[in-house]
Amino acid sequence: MHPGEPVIQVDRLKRYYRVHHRRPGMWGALVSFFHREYTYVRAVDDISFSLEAGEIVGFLGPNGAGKTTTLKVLSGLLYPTAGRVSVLGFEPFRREKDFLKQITLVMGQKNQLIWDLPAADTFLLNKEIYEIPDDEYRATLAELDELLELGPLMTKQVRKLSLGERMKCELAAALLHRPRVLFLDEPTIGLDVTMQAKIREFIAEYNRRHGATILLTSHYMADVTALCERVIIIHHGRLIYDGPLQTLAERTAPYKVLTITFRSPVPREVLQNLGHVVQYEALRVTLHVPREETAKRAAQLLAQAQVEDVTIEDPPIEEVIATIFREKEAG
Amino acid sequence: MMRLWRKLAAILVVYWARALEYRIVILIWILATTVPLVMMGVWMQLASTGDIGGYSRGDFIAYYMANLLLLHLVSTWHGPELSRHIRQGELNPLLLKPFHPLWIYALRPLPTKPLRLPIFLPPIILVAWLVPGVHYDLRPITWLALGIAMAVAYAITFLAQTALALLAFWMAQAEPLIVLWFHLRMLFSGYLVPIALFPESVTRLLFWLPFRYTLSLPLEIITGKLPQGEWLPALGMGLAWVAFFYGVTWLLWRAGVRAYTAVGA
Amino acid sequence: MVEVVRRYGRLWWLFLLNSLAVELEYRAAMISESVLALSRLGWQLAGIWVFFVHRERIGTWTLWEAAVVLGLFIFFDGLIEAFFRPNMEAIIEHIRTGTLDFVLLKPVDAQFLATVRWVRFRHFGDMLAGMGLIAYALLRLRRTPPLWGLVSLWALMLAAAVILYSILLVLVTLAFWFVDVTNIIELVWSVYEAGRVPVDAFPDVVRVVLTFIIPIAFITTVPAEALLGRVTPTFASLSLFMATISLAISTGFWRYALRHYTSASS
Repeated sequence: MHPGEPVIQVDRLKRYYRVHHRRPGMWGALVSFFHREYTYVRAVDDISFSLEAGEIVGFLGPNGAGKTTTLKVLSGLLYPTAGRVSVLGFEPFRREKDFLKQITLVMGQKNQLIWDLPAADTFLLNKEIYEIPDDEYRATLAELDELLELGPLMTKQVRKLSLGERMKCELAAALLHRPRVLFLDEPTIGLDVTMQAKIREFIAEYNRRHGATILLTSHYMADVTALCERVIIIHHGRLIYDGPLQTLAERTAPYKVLTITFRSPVPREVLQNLGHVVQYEALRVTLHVPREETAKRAAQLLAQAQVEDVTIEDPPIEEVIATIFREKEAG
Repeated sequence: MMRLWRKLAAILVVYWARALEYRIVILIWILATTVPLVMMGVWMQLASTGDIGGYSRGDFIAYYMANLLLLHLVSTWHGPELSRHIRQGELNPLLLKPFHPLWIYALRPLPTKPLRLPIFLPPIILVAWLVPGVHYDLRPITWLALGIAMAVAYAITFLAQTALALLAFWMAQAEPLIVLWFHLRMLFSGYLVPIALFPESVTRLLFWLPFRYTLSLPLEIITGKLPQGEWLPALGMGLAWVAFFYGVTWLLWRAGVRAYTAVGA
Repeated sequence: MVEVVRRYGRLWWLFLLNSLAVELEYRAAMISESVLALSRLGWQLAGIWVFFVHRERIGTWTLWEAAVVLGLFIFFDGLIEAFFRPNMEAIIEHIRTGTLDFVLLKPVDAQFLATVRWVRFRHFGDMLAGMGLIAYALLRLRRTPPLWGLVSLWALMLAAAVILYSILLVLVTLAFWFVDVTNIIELVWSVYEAGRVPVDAFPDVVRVVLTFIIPIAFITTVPAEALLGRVTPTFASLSLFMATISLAISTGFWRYALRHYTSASS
């Protein structure tokens, strides 16, 4: 890899699966024995993007959008159907030793820790597998211990840990070899809110300290808003947005949200002329108004009614994304 | 009484459906029983130079072919599962049902039994028809005796294993005892070798022990190796063992459930 | 090269320590399995012994010669349970739950990491029982195995272990295509039962099948012949040849399956 070159480069990546269909029953089994019908599922269909060193990028999309498939191609678990992929200057699917030593994959729903033994045993094993020198291992472990507050967790059998505690150990085991690229697939899934926040803080701090490049998928928007300045959104295997999280709403949501508190009730009809009424209570109203006319409509409102308080916001990110997916589905 | 029958019939129907669901697994399970075939191969080779203990080459073939079928018809392997259920508290929901939980364990294997017939009967018929010297005793009276002997065999296997499994009410590890019973049964029930081929003192001792009545007796009857005059004493001894294990199981169950519900496990 | 061997040696040592630690979590099972090893030895030996109540020899084998074969059978049975079965179960579980990904992403050979990862020490009892039976049988035969016999015994036992490993590897690799192969493995595996007696105790047809089609003969009969000093060099080299071939085939199949896995799975 040359300095200044992106750490991850994906160029027109395609990944199709062949799925074989069979009609039910004995007859179907017989027919499909001689004549198999296949269809192709385009899990990833012609996407391109790149990540610079040290970036944390959120990778979003509904279930089955192709997120996990992309992560697997990037980590070398899947062979691309077409297109070029390069991570740290390696072709991932070759799974060269020098490549594997610099990356890690964490999957929130799967664990690599030895179930019946304390996590410390998995750590020692990974030390050997990744050929980590003694002093480096001690230093890394001390640091992970400090950041994740592992302490007594390391010496308890993994099967006796709670889900959150296990995730902490899981992260530690995956980071012992100080990987430069982290693929995190739903790292906070199933955890309670405080534990989610802790894991998030840890990821941010790890990135700050080591400048690791991180590609993260999550169902929890809070993860993404807290960690990622940039997001990549895919849907049905196609890339539909790649850019700053901040401008996502500007670019894709055609409206802003006005939340108004009135001093005295205002008839619904008056408000309907100003924008789309989403919520209508006695004194509190939420309106969606066209983005480019926000200022004009707000002024009209203030002129027409007795307003106690008004806020103008971009729609919440979850809603923006949900709207995007809905529109894509319809279109 | 009618009510009980209806419940039992319902259990049978449910597990019949399940057996159909798992038919491939069951088929493989059955086909994986190769030890009797291995033993048959060796005896056939040995008997090619003359009869052994009254068994000719054809007798050995008849014996082991019937062995494969009867073993699956009269056996259960529920012991380890029952003892695990007791230990892990999975017996609790069954205790709340309006019939004795042991009925479930006793009836559950039965619906899978007929599935064995289409697998084993054709080869047995074929062999009896084609291979010279392979004979079965097919008189009506033999079928009657065979039926009783098979019921006795199933009852002993079920009750003895249940009794050992019930020890799980008190012991952390009842499974090894059940496996030990399996080992003894394999050796002394005629599964491995016809018990008539043991030294005479062992064969005589086996009359008094339960193992013979768990498999060997029906085999001896259908292959015509047991003179008709000895049927009644043998069946009587088998029934005595059924009564014995029934008593033991009953006592263990009563004491066990009391201990179990007392600690509220 | 030396560096690689040392590295993998150290890793294997760690695997052993891990496995031992796991076993110590299940102490009761360890004790009861050891007791059961003895009772297993008992019924199997008694089953063979009945043949000799009626005949001097089975095939060309006397009682204690046949006991050597049974000893090897029990030893390899224990070896499979201790070294092969836990890994087999782990691989099937990895494929089923998708955790095989973690194995593939380690900078270590995946076949090594997946197939020698676990050892179930509780089955060492069977291996010891088998060894004990062999030693006792030799004592009864008043036979000190010839030096050549001992050397070829170790070579042949290694070959036998490699053949078993290869057969199991091929079977477990099928899990990449069929979700539940446990039952298929049980079915194929039941053929191993034929190894408890010398192959020439069977009728001729069976003997040929067990020598050349399903190579059970090379696992128990051939090493036993080595120990009794009557193995022919031809058979000994055939055994080593079979081991090499089967290892090559099974490793090739495993690699092919991994390629299929990384190009087909989701």
